[in-house]
Amino acid sequence: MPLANIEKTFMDNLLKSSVKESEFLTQLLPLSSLTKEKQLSIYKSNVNGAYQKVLGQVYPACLNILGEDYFNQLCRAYRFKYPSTDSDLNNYGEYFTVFVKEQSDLHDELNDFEYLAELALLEWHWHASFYADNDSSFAFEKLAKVEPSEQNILIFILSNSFSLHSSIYPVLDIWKANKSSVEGNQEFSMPEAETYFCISRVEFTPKITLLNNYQYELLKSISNGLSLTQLTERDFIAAGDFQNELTRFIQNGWVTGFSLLELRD
Amino acid sequence: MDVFNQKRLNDKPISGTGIGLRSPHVNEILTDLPEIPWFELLADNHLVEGGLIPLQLEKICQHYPVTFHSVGLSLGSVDPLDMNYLAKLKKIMKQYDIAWLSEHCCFTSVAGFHSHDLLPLPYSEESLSHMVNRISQVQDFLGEQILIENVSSYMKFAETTLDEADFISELAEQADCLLLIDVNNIYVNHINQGIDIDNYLTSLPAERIKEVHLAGFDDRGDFILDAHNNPVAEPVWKIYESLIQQIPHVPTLIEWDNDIPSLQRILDEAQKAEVIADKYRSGNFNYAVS
Repeated sequence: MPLANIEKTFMDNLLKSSVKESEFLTQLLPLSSLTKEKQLSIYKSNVNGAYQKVLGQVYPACLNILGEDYFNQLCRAYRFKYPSTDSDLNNYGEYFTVFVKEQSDLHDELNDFEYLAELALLEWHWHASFYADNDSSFAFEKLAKVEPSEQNILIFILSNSFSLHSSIYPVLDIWKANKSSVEGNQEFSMPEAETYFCISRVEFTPKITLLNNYQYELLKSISNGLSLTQLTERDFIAAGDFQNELTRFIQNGWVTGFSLLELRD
Repeated sequence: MDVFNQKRLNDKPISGTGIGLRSPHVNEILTDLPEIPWFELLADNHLVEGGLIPLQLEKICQHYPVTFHSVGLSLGSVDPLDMNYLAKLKKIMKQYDIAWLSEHCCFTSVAGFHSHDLLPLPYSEESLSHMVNRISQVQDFLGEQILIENVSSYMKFAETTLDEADFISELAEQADCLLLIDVNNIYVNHINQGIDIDNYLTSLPAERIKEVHLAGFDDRGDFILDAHNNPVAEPVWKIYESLIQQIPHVPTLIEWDNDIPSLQRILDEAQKAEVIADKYRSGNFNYAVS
């Protein structure tokens, strides 16, 4: 069998669930202490173990809540549904949040964990924030030179480490109680209103900041790419202090720059 | 190419027994700056350009000679080389004056999918030709020789026609690359595959060996796993001595990646390697952790 076929069938056996081992096993010879099936199973186990380890590191609260056995079952299924397509292992868990949502819709035993997909999203962005590219400093001098007529083409840029979250569940409390190990009382009361928060990196450490409704809507509008003019025309904008909030976003390192949609002469 | 490589080796002396830098020890090392001759860093962990990781790399490189060990080049893969990955490696190696790059004689990805495990190749003429071509591409792009490491393998391919040592030796000769010999991997393959250790060691081109790895394995009953989670085993020390007496000035590295112990415990292993190598050369290195 040509090398290309050997590699392809080997990888298929590691990353696909419905592959019959027989085709690849014909390419192997038994060893004195390892049958052909055992040889392949060692690699399956190694790959699975590596993936479980990474997902457990990225999603520690999900692991603690679901327990090792169930979490590892999810990891195995995730490996087949979303095999890694990136040489950077740090990116492997990127679709786990989507996968958890899919599984929650499919499996009754996850009914008690309605918050799980949002918790996973929090954990993913916490992880991604740590590894995000550095941001450039906000160019205040350039902003001062923007003409009033250009405000309709000015859009603000959010930090590479920034993510915006909202939840009707007490995901922050659940995360804090489970991110290292299962700690304290595991009964959480539902918040009276939807909770808004963001994750961003301060120097080298990810940080969570609670937001009010006005801040959340403004940041959401910025992340949706609305221009400065469009921002000031939003219905909610008069309910708060737009300029002060924008200044705070820049000071916090959430808004790190701006761009003009069209080039000036 | 030899001249270029020699210049780098002289500029950044990698000698004695170094250790693989692992995250639980980074703060201790950067705070205490213990006397350690050199570090090997897993290159794949240092390709990010933001946050704490690049800063740690910069600080380590300010105080210690550093080499890169990568797992993501997938040299044996029939996929095209990942030039973005390679370009990142080249940029960071140049930026921090990394002494050299080592990779594995294996593949880790194919058809766009990544196993993140070191998957063995059949030792055939086709694999040899393919690997030679790929290593040459990498060396041409980097402008320097790379080191190729023998891997542990739990598989015997029907397509294999060459002994592992012959494959590695021929690979080094045809690709004009250097070698990183992992002694634990030789022992693992001896136990699991029955390879002849004496024949292996005598087959290797000593002049191309630029680094030696030592690590611990995990006994799984019907096989042993190259798990890097234990001290170096006694039989591995014996193979190491047989190898290092032929090449006593070639630097050695202690790898410990799982169930990572204290820094001092790993340095104890390094000291043990130094004592063995020192029997065959003059002058050794004292490991001191404050």
